[in-house]
Amino acid sequence: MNRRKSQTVLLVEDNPKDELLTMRALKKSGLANKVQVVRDGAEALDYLFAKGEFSERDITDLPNVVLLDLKLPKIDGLEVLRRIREDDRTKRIPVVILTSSDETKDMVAGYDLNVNSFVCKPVSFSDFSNAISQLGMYWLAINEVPAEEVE
Amino acid sequence: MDNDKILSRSITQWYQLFSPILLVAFFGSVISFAGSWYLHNDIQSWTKREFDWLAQRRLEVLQNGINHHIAMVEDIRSLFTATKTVTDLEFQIFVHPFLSSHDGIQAFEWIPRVKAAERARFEYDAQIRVPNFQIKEKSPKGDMVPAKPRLEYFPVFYLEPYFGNEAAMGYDIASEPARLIALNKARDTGKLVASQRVVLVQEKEKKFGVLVYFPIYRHGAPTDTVSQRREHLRGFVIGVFRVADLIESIIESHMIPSGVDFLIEDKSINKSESFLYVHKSRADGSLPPIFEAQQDLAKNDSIWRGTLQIANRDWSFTAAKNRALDVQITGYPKSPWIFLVVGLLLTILLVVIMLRKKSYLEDLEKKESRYQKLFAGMGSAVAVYEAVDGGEDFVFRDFNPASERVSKTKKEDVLGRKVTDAFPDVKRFGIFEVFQRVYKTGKPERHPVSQYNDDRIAIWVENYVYKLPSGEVVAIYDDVTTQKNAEAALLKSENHLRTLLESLPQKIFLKNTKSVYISCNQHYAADLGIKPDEISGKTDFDFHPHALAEKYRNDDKEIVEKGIIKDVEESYLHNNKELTVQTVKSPVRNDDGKIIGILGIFWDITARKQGEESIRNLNIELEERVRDRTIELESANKALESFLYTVAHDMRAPLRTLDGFSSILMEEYGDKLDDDGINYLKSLQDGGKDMHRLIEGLLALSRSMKSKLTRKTVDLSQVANDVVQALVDESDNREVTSKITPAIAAYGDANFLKLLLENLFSNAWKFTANSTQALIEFTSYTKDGETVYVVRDNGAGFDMDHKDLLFRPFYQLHKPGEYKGSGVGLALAQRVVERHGGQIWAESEVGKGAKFYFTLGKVKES
Repeated sequence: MNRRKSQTVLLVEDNPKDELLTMRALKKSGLANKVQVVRDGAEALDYLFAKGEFSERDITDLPNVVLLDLKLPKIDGLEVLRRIREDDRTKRIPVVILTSSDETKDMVAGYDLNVNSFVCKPVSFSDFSNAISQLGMYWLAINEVPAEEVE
Repeated sequence: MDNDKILSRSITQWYQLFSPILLVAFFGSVISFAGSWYLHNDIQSWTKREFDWLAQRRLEVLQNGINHHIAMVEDIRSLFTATKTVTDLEFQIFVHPFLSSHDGIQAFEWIPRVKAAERARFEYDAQIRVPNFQIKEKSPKGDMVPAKPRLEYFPVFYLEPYFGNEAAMGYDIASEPARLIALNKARDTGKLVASQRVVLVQEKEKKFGVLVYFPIYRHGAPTDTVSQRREHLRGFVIGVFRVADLIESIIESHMIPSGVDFLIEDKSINKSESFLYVHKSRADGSLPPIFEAQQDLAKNDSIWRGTLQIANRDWSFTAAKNRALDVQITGYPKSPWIFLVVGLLLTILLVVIMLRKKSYLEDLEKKESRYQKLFAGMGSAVAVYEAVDGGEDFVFRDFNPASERVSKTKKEDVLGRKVTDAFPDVKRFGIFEVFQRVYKTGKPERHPVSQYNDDRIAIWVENYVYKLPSGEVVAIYDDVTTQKNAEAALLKSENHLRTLLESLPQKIFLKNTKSVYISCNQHYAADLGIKPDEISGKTDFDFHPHALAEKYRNDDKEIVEKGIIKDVEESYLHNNKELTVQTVKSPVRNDDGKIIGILGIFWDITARKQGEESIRNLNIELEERVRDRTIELESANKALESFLYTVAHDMRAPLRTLDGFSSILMEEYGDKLDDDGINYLKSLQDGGKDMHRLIEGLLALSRSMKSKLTRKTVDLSQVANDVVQALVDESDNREVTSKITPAIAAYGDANFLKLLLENLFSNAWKFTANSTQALIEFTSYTKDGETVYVVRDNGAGFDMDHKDLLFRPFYQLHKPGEYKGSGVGLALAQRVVERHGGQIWAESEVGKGAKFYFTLGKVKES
């Protein structure tokens, strides 16, 4: 079984306070050093398709999971998801929507775009920390993804 | 039915109808013929018997007469037998009485036997008495000449009467063979012998005579043998009879009625010489034809035969019926024919009478049947009564079907009953007096339309009563109930109609098929500025602008041609103001369905049209406004929705931040804060939590208005149990008793119903927080076919003055902090109930708990 070149989490989060709380939760789980944070949808896409700021990046070095907020500046989360799924290079990346919304409408739209998981951010801090740490553990330690040679 | 059957049936019928007549004709004819035949035969046989009797009588008379005459000859012989010598005078004296009384005798003669030797002496002696006496004979020329010499002579010697017979004096009887035969026979037999017919020598007419010989022998001489008799013969006594005279004298002397012709013939001689005499009845001078055709005699039953005995000689007696005899015997010999003719005539008469009678009967039958049919079939009711008690009452004798119908009474129920009995109201009705009057006077009467009314029937009838020749009273009556009712109705409706037509605000007119007005109502006339009766004969061109009149007339034409009803909105000019009217024109038809005119009715709809127009404009405007408002509302809705969404989501993040960082602060810097600092931090966190509850409530409220409702049958008891269980799990060791009636079913949306119960139960849960022995109940009952669900608690309750505020969102009756809540729980409950079409209400008293009732609408489970 081939592993990805690096064990990374791509966190797409525009709210710095949430970013801080998320990072703290991940840090407590020992996963903080593997997190790449982008702050809007466009930046997320640049990172994934190695454009703009991230043009130097190896495009084949895909993250193990994308934690995607929905309400994002520039390009919103669902659009980001759609583009990920559209492109052959990125279509198999596990994407977890991590949002404040618990609207059915948003869930349906996410699952329609083949999101791998939909997680509503708890308001309570303890619940939130708990959820984030479980997510990190699951997607990085437990979940398996295919090696890039498969392509 | 084919022709054969008709024919055969008609033959059978004909036979049935006419057979008695045929029988009469047949038997009449037969009886006539048979009777006349029988009568004819009877007359024939009777005539025959009568004739036979007459003939026999005649024969007997003749025989007696002949015998009598012969007896005279015997008497003369006795004279000669008694006396040796009979003188001429003695003979004369003896014979004379016979002659004088008997016309039938020609002569009596004495003929002595004169032997040849004695001739001269005899002639000599004789000449003493008779000068120039000679024995003579008849020469072939017929002259009397002296007899030729013979052995013996038998000359006529005594002859009485002499005069008229003098030629016979001296005639030798033996000179003539016919006479000689009889002579010899008499001599040889010694008996009386009659000769065959002879023509007498003294005869001047051509008539036949018969000689009767009686031999006279010598006195004392034996005469036993023929030879002795020949030897001793003295002479003969001869009776000379002219047959005709003899017979006729006998007939005349006996005055025998005429009618029988007869023929006498000598039987013992051949046919050519047998004829002796024929008697023709005095009634008829002609000779009966039967004697001319004697060969037919044997066949003829009109012939009667007998035999006459004359001096040992047989004469045949053949009698024939003279034509006069039939008449004489029967009186009228044509009676069989008369019988036949009369019989046939009677038969014909009888047949004619029968035919007449038959046709009369048929006629009668036809009339009777016609009467019966008429009686049964006529539309008018007929009852026939017989007067009883001398015209005091009347009994039903006949009752036709129309009667049954009109009086609703069966014929068999009234026949024989008194009219007063069958129809109790008949006296009040008035007809009874009419019956009595008509019966008495015999004058027909009409009883005007009146109402008959009893327990059974109530009818209007009109009667015509008359008396029959038989004395029976007839009532003909018609049921005019319907007519009467119809008349009343018509009168009423006509009045109604007239009033209606005049009081109608509409204009009404009648035109003929040429669009010429016939009449109109007051309103139309007033419109036209004329009186209603002035419209007759006018057309639309007289009242309306040409273009309009043209249009009206074209419509009329279409109606007349197509027979349609036309309902149009059209222009109408009145007082120079153009109005819109609605006009309905329909064809008027006569009883045959032919269109004879047009009935029109129209009314002003200008105001209505204008009203309609403004309504239409209003509607358009309204729709536009609604559309605008809807758009506004929709965008407002959208704005609200996105606002709520935004609020809900964007407010969670700062809350999380608040909670998150205060928690981190507490966790990482808690040991650096004093107690006050920690309390402040906790208050901060509590405020965040309150805020969070409010937001969640707001979201729930927003969703409750937007989500779709899907009904199905839900076990509410089960839901209630789940909800209570969740409350128990969340709570911090609260002691709450819950009583949930099992199997309460509801028909509604499962998610919403759960939300509803969650809110109601958590409300109850919340307000029983300060109660000892908290109790929450869930029950239901049915009222007016609707299930009412009840959630009851024994908690704090509320003041009923504020019950209207209960369901207002974010509005709490209790002081903040007293009971924790989102502030939208009951508002949410109300939304859910209302979305199901139900109602929710509450009853309470402060400190005594609260009852929340709700229904879910009367939607049928399907």
